[in-house]
Amino acid sequence: MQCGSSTETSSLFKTHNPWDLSRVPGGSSGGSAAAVSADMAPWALGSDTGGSIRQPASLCGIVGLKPTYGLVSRFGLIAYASSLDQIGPLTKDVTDSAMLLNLIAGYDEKDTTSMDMPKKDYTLSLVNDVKGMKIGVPKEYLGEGTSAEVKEAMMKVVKKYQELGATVEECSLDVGQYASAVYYIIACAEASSNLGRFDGIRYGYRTENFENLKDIYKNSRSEGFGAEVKRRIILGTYVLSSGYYDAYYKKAQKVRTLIKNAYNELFEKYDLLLTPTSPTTAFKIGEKMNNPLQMYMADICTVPVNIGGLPGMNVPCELDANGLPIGFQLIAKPFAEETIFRAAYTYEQNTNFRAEHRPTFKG
Amino acid sequence: MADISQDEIVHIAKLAMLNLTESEIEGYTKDMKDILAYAEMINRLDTDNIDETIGATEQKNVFRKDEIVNFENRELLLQNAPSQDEGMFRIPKVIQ
Repeated sequence: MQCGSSTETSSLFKTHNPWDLSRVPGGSSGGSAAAVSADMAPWALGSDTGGSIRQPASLCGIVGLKPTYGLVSRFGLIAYASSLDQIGPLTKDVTDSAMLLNLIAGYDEKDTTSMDMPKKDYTLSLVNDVKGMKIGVPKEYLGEGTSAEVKEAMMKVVKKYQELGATVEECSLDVGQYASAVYYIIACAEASSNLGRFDGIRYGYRTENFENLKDIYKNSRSEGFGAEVKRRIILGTYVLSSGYYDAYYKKAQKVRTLIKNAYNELFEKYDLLLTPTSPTTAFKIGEKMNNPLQMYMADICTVPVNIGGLPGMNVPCELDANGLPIGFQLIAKPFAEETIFRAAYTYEQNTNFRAEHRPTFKG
Repeated sequence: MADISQDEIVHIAKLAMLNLTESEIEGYTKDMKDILAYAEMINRLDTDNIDETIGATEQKNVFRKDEIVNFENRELLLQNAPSQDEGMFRIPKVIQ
């Protein structure tokens, strides 16, 4: 069990970023992303509740897709935040991503949130053409929190899509600024409930140190959970506790509706939205360990997509001055993965990120 | 409202079945203050007459047929047991 944007609080071992071993791979599927990036695995699956596929994919320079909520069954995944969790592919390129999604998408009676709809062949969307496509760029994600190099890279991506015949224009997702606050309330509330099953009897680690039932519960949980998981359980229990439920949890669910509505409006006008995946490139191991709030800000571009239940993909595009990957995120309306594949594939075919750049394992 | 005390953290930890050390109580109290002070921003939005979003999809009441399906692979099930005995889950005594 692991959560957070750096993979530093993993219950097993720290993972290092293959592009610079002194830096984090992103998280929480940082192990999967690092393994694919370093050619230790041809592809991997990750789970994404607030960006845990896309953000490590960005920091490790690979393709990561969070499919629409309900497209892929979560059967077998340990539930973290059930209204946000989704499984998706981490791959070296867009073609592999489409092929892997073909294998994992579809209805499963063992996950009641998986949608019963006809199977699609996503490789049919690997078409090198974005002419006439309309892409919106929410200006809020290119503000002060985003590094200058990431902004510059986004401008180059915009220019590339324009050259290729897409219409790209600035738009606004003002209510998106509330997404991280909504996310941490809802995700932690759901997590504190979901992780209740780890009681030392039914699931997971069991303490050896107990005299009665309450000891088993308390000692198993206290010894078995890491610091970040405990922090989230405490926050989640707090916002669900009597007296605070309406002020935090219920209010957050209402703001979630406002965020979904804002996306719906944007997708009446645009086929895709384009943002950075991460406001910065990979940070140093230990840099944000003691500041949970700063760590949470690493998810600022990816979290709103989970709040909306939308599909989003990281596509690698540039390296910064330190030789670290920068990625952009394409977001589509629910179940419009084909539009993402088409735009991502077109970008990939007309640029050379993977041919020119490989992890260096320096540091 | 975000003025959360160490006593409250102790109470919340009790609800969540967690033992916290003195330094954890201190650390988490500070963290909760910071995080909740940030989360307060949602109160700037007017949400009168707005419905809550409970799930990510509009699905409601997904039912299955109430049919018994036997699972025959006992060995596979027992692989998940932290401790087993003669084909059964072995658990600590939980009733005093």
